[in-house]
Amino acid sequence: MGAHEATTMGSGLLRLTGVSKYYGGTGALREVDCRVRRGEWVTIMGPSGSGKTTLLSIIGGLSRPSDGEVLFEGTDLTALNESQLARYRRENVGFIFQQHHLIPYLSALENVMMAQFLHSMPDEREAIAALRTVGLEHRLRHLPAQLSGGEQQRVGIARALINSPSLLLADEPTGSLDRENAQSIMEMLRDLRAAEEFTVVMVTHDPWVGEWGDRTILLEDGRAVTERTESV
Amino acid sequence: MEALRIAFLHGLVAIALVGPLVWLAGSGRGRAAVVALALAGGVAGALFAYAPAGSRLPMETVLLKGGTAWAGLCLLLAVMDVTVLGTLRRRYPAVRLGMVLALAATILPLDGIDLVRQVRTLVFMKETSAPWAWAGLGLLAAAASGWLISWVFRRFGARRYATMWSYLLVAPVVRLAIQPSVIPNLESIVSRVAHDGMHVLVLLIQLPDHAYLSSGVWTAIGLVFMSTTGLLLNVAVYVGVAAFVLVRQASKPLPLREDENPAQRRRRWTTLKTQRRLTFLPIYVAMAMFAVLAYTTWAATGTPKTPTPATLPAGGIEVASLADGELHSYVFGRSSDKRVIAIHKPDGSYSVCLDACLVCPPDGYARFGTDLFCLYCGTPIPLGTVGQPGGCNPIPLTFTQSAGRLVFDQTQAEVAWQGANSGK
Repeated sequence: MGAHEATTMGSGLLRLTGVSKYYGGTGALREVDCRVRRGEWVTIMGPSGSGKTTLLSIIGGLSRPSDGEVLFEGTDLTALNESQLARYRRENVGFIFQQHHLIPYLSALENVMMAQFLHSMPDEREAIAALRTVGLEHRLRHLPAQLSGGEQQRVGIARALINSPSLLLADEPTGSLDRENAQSIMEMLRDLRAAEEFTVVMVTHDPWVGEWGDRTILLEDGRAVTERTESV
Repeated sequence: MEALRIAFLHGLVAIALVGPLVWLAGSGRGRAAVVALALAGGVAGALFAYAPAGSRLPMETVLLKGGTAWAGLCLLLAVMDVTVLGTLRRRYPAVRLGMVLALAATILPLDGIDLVRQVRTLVFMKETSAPWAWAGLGLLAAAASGWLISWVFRRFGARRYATMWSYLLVAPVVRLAIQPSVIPNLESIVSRVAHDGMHVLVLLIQLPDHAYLSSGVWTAIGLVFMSTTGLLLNVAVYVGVAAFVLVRQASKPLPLREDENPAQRRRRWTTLKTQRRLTFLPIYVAMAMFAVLAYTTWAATGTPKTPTPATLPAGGIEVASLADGELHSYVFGRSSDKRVIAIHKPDGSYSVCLDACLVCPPDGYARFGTDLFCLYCGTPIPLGTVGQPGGCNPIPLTFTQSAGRLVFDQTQAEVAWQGANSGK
């Protein structure tokens, strides 16, 4: 892999300066610095316990750093209160998780519409169009339990992108899928990104998945040790 | 301290009424200048309007009529906003500033007059000028509170949900709910203008004035000045504005923007819906207030009470006999065909007048709720103005109060009666 669609990369979208996170006396992240430009696909890699998911949570406004500064479009996330952070997440960030985290008693369509509802208001036609984009127009009324793992992740992608976020955060999006489904999901993300021009920050421990990004940040023991630009 | 409290409340009301308008119309650093100019305009207007706003009228009557005038002003604003003036306001800062100044000069004098009047009373009673200083402090405290409220609104992004329409609907409710005590000043002006305007109109179309019209015509004209008419007019105007806003808001399409995605459009649509809900809220509040006012007005009025003329006591009218607050009538003169009326008014003062005015045949007056009614033309005279000379008011007599009696010069009263009886 490694051949990716060239995207228009513009000004800085995200800048982390000296970001640390401590749980008690344990340092999960130690003075991490990094920048993400608009339209870029950045992969964060590293062994288990290196702080990948912690870093993603901080970028997504799900947790706060113990120290340091996180600037999103010039706004310091560490200075926002809870309601402002919720608004930041609602209007700017889409999340994809390894375990999908779909609501089990809502259909695929309703799961997507729930994200619309929390953002502003549901629009069924728009939600159907989003599920059609990920190839699930024939599974609209199915519950998550009635879908395969790959299909569930497609619903997760539709849900993450329904509110047109400028930043997509993906935590091991193919971790629970076989290679064939993983390939399909990654191609879909690549195509959607080319069409909608959002920025991707993806956490993975799989080198094959890492190659889909423009750039890789390697974390080790909470520190960003190396940075590598993928061949285009 | 009383002056501080009064000034603080007046200041808050002024900010509540003018602040949102300035907020909606102004922008950036210019906003502070607009606020200062608006307040200056209000003070100038207050000084200008203080002299003609003389009397204090019964609260219920003036609340209704004052509300009518206020709702009328809002209707005017609404019409202005959808006409070319609205377009100009959005395009040119100078027009925005002019509208704000005009509104401030219209709204704030009511507060200014009331404040000056109350502080002057305190200065007179306490025989010290300290209330003026306390009033100054009160205004400063109100300004600080206004800044705090503005900060809270900015902090929670309330600007997204506030529109000119919500202001138009909220303003009358604020005025009716918080500070009905300033309405008498407006009422004085409105009644004066309406009353005099009607006479001028009749004369302009070269009809004989007043006594030459039939009593039926005058009864119809008198309806215009009735408290109940004021209430109905108030409701009609407010419902008119509300219906206008409802139709306009409901039919307003969400304008398309080329640079936004479907999610942003959904978000904007949600904000618009919230704006609409908040815009409609004062309509419900105002309707509830009008319902209460309608009930209290109806409960207070009852049936007209025409006094039965009694013989004037030799030593003058006994004050004790007026303690019931009702209208009392007495016959006097050599042939006992002339009448005076006397009443203990709600403000505690007494009035002794002829049972006749300068213009109508002397059929006399009856009491109906908070008004006296001319039995010839039906024009209501608010109790607060009884004792003042001129027009449809009963002709006041000079009297003295001694030994529990009100005494007037009967010879002068007979002369005055001749003038009244001859009509205009």
